[in-house]
Amino acid sequence: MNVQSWIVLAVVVVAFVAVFRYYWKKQRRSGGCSCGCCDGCGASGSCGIKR
Amino acid sequence: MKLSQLSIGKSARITAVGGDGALRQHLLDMGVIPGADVTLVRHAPMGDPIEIRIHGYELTMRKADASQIDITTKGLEPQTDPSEDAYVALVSEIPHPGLGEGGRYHEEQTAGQGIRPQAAGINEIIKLALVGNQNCGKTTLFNRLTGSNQHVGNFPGVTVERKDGVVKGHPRVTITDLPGIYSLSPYTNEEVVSRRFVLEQKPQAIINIVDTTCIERSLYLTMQLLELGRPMVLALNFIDEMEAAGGTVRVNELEQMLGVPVVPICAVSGDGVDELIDHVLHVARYQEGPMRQDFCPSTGPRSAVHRSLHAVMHLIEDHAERAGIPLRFAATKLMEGDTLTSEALQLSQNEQETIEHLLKQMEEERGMDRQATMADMRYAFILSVAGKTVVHPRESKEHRRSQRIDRILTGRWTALPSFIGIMALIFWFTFNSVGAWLQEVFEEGIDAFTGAADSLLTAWDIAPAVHSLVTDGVLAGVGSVLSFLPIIICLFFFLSMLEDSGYMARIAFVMDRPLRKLGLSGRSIVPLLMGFGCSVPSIMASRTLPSERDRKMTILLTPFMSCTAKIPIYAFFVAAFFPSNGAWVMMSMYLIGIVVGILMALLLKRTACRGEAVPFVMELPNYRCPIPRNVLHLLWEKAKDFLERAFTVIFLASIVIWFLQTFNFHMEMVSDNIDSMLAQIASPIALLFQPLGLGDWRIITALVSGFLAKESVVSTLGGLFTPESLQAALNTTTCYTLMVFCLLYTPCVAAIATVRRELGGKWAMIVVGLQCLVAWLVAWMFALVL
Repeated sequence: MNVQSWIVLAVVVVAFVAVFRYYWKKQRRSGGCSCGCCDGCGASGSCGIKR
Repeated sequence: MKLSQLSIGKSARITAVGGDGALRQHLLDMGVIPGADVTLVRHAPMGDPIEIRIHGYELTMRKADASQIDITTKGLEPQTDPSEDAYVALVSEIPHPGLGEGGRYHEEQTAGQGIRPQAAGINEIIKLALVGNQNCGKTTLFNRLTGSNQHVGNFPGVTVERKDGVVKGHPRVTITDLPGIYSLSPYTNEEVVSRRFVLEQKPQAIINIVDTTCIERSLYLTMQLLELGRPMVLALNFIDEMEAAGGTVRVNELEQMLGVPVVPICAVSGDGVDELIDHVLHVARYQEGPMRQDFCPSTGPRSAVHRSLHAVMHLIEDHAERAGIPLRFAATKLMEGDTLTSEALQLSQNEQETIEHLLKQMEEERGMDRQATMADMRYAFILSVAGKTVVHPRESKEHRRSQRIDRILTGRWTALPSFIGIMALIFWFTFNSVGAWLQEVFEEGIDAFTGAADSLLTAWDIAPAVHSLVTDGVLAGVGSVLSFLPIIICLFFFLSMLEDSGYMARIAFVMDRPLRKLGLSGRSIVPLLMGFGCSVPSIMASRTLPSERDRKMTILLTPFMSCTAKIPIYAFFVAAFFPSNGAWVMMSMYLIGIVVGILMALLLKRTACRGEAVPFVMELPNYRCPIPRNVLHLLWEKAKDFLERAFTVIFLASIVIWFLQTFNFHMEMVSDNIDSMLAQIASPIALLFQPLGLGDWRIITALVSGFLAKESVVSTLGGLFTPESLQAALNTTTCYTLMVFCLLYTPCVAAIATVRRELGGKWAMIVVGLQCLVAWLVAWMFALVL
């Protein structure tokens, strides 16, 4: 693999890890709500999140 | 004569309210009391339920419940009781500053029960509660006070759980928005939340927001809150609407009569809100409770209540103190037969019998039972106060407009065609017109971006595996889902229009009778319609239903309503297999969902949810023009939520799926994905789907990924199939079968988590199993028939 390929791969891996960390923390914070309903779909706070 | 026999447009006076239990108490709380004048406005299209006008607002109830209410059409002249004036002292000169204003403080010797004259420290955290009837503008005021953007709507029961916020400009003051209640006798689950908060959390002060346009009914809750003895401010909302119709409220007089600060406000525009917060902070800091709590006259025909109530208060004083319940509140609730209060007071047998004797004596003297007597005492005071302080307006233009619109939208012959027409228009605009056009534009943009990225990677001579990861994994997965954003926003726009305009409540009114045949009440239609948007808030919305059976049944049926997350799945297959009649195929999915939901309802009615649907008692709000800011905010929240999901769960799932389908268990890149890890894992499960003609492991993988989020089905299919291989793997029949399966199979993990929260783990598992089974059976039937 050339240098550019390593750079692109690194970008994807970093993005994956960052998104995973964000998603994981959000899941823990929201007590299992994975659709983001607590912020998004009009039921804000309904699953117990205090923003 | 019974209320159910009254002709349309005719008025009568209620003479007795029959029935028993929580419904009767609820009716009494809503002002359906002996002596109240009532007008029959209309029948629902199928003759039931009926809409009545009472105390200046519209209430719906079923004929069966109306047949328990006795009325008379004779002697409808205004009733006066000279004793009422004796206990509503009109103050001719109102001194200033008024209650709750700087420069005026309660004196210790004038302070009634519950008033604690010591001042709270300026740095102490102050906890406020926002309490009021349903649909009186609590959440609008909460948003105004805190700068939040909580969801508001124009039908009773939008807020189902408490929400906390910090008051803008006052970092040490928190406010809690509570679900709407009509009295402190809880009728539904979310009303219990409000009652518990007010009684147990003991906020430093209460903001009681009332709808001024039907102030008599609103003050019923106010009186019960006054009995708690907590510092309180009365906020008169919609005063602008009342004044525009020529009415007004003599605020200073009302303040003197109720003994709490009264502030007219307009929660939408923010007028009066600053003054309101000044007053509430004043009463909270100085713990200034209501100046009066005694509303029962000591002379005249209603003095029987006074004597009994005070006797009960003396009798239970020590119990109330031990239980930490305000004495007057405890006594009135005990007299109404409130079991929660009765249990908390732990009275001896002797005391219970003494109270029973007192109540029997009161009933005998008043000629009506204890619940009706207590409601009558409160309403007598309210009508007396309102008579002196409220200048009733002529019919407001909002009400006139609502009546005109309702002639069509709830008319006998026009209601159902209007409902079907409106829903058809919504789906046509979403899937075949505006939404579809916007989606095409969006799709072109995404294709251009993907093409540019592909060219760039080729130009940089990126290794094939990495190239494939970016284009086939990330861009194909996320891009395939992103293009459906406009359609989803479009559908939510129309749903928010239904909700904000007030039409949602009319749909419940119109649909009550058909839904009763399925074992549901009209109120269930609101969560079910919201299910077309997202199952999570619609499952939460079922909390407004007063019976556990109705809630359970509504929750079990909601996932059959096709949510917006499934739109990308339908659109993906429609584009590939039904390009010429896409809108019809899309609509057929919604219809199949509704039909299967109806069949399930009939099945549940005869098995797990036996019994009758709860009575349908609901207030009909005036139609209002949706507030653009609220609609735009809702759409932004939906868009943000969808984008967040696309760039989190879909992004992660796309990469995981790409990895599993590109490598085998020896971590070698495979040339044909039939040798991949994914194929090895999914193949055994695929056997189960062979009878449906869906025995391809790639399809199974997509279905499994849909458990995380439904959009993930599309991103997975986009990664696993090329357009050619998709055409080879499916035909129009198997494609339609797969769409039916996707429509009906298990809801996403978020919806399951919500079911678990509402009904428990057992029912969450039942929902997953039941939906998968039903989906398989219905899809199998389609596979056989098509």
